[in-house]
Amino acid sequence: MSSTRTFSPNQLRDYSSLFSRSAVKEWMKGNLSSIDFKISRYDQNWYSKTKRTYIDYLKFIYSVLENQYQNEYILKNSFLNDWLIKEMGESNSELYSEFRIGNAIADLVMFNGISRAFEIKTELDSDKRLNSQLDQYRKVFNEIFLIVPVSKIKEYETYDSNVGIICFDILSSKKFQLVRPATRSNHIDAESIMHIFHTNEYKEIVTYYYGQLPEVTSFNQFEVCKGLISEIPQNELNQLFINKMKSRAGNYDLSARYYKEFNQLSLALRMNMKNRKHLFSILKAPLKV
Amino acid sequence: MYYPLLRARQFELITIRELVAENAIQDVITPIFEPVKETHNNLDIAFGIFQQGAQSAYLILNPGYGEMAGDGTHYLDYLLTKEQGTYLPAFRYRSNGDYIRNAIQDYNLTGCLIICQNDVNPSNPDFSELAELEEVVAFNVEDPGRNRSLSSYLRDLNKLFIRLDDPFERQLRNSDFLPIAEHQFSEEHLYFQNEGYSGFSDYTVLPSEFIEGGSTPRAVVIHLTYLNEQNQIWIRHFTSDTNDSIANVQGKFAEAAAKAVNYCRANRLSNSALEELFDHFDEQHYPGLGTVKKICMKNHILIVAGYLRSR
Repeated sequence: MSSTRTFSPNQLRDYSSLFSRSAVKEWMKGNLSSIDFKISRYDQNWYSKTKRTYIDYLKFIYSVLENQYQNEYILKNSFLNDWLIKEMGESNSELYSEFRIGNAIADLVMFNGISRAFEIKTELDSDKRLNSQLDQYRKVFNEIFLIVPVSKIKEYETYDSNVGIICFDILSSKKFQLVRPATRSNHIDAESIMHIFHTNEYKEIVTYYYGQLPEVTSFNQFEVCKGLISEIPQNELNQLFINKMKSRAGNYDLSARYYKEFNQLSLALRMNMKNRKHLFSILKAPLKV
Repeated sequence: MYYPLLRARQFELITIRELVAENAIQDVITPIFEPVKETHNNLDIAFGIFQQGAQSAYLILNPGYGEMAGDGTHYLDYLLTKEQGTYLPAFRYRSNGDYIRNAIQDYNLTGCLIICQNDVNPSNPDFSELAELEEVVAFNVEDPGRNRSLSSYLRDLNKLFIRLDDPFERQLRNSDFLPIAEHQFSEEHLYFQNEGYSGFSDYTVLPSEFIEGGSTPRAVVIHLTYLNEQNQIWIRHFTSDTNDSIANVQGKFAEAAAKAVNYCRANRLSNSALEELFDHFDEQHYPGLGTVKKICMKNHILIVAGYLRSR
């Protein structure tokens, strides 16, 4: 069966629900009914001599979506595979999907020597919240990138010229291209990072920088540490923040080669190697149909 | 008699363990536990303390929620490993009379409690054959006033008939409690006997819905019940003020606790649960959300037990 077939928008939307957190959580428990359901609804005859496991079917669905329904999952996953994983290989990096900063959630963020936020705007997304999102990201990240479709480059170029732009054309051989680099800033807002840190993280930073933690109670530790952290020079604070985010690390086994269709899900669910192996061992079962 | 319905999770069990150890609820309260975890560790710890304190508790053997939900044998097998009299058998009825009758027979159970919705038709033999078994001694029915034929049927059986109400008004978000100061919570303890019930049930100051896990809240709320001058139970919600992010849960607790402690001290409210809250507040110590929940449940059960014991 080839993915050059044309599918209705409803069917594509229905397929796309397979690449969701809730679906994968069920698979991890051994419940593959969400996949069985799609097969019985659309693909009763989906077979080939060599491809007959759940994972084969999911790869097929992924390729259909990649060609015909580029939703946020597909875009993020492609960006991970085509861009970020390469960069990760070169340095000790930490990646997060859906990273909360104030009232905004950055699609992807990466910490290595510097901190970077990536905001994806598909054809379907509006730019209504973009200014307030950028305001939040600027408080914390050294570089900010927008990932936008080729057709919308002009529109997004009018935003803050410090923000980098990466354009995508997912069907071309070079899916992502840098249109404009980001200007690096080391400005870091202590109040904003206090809301990102876990309690032990801000305590560790104070202890590390000042040599000890002052006497605090659980009621006032946040305010006391915030005061001390805001006095750390920006460059040093930036580095302390990046190091702390890197040390939260999951032991991900993202791979641009194997099961690359599932990288973004691994990241979103913060799956470690063991979880990933467990998931694939379940999905390697032959289709029940 | 008060029958609080609680999930058998760690802090629910600790709540009852502490109350039993204080000898605060024996004779007037029988908790009903719905286990939601496959493991029995917390139930085991509680069992020893309940047994020593001569406190019994119902255990729902076919829970409606959680890891082992449904009509299985997991908790039946567990019950068999324990000496009789401390954990008592309870079943959720959902047109599963066969399952329950077989379980009673196969496991040689006595003194069973049946928990049902008020939509049961008493002339349906699936229910009536179960209800009339000698081994079934008690019924717990949600909002029973809405099905008079069921109520009338159960009263005629001359077994224990317990009403279940769900007075806790859950809000979409914890921060939604902020503008709600206080309101009447429950008066079943005043009227259940006059209305012909042997006891009453509720979910204490927790929502009846089962939510697995839970994320860090944006607001911390301390729900405290108390008796007013007419002996009605009222509830006050003490809610943190800075609820714009999930950071600093300790600070949010400090805000909510300050309100709660000031109110209780000004109104001379005190019991072992509130004393624990006062201690954490005075020491500026954040005990964790599980303990906050425990304090709220414990306070409520103490209020009800105190009333029932003083009648």
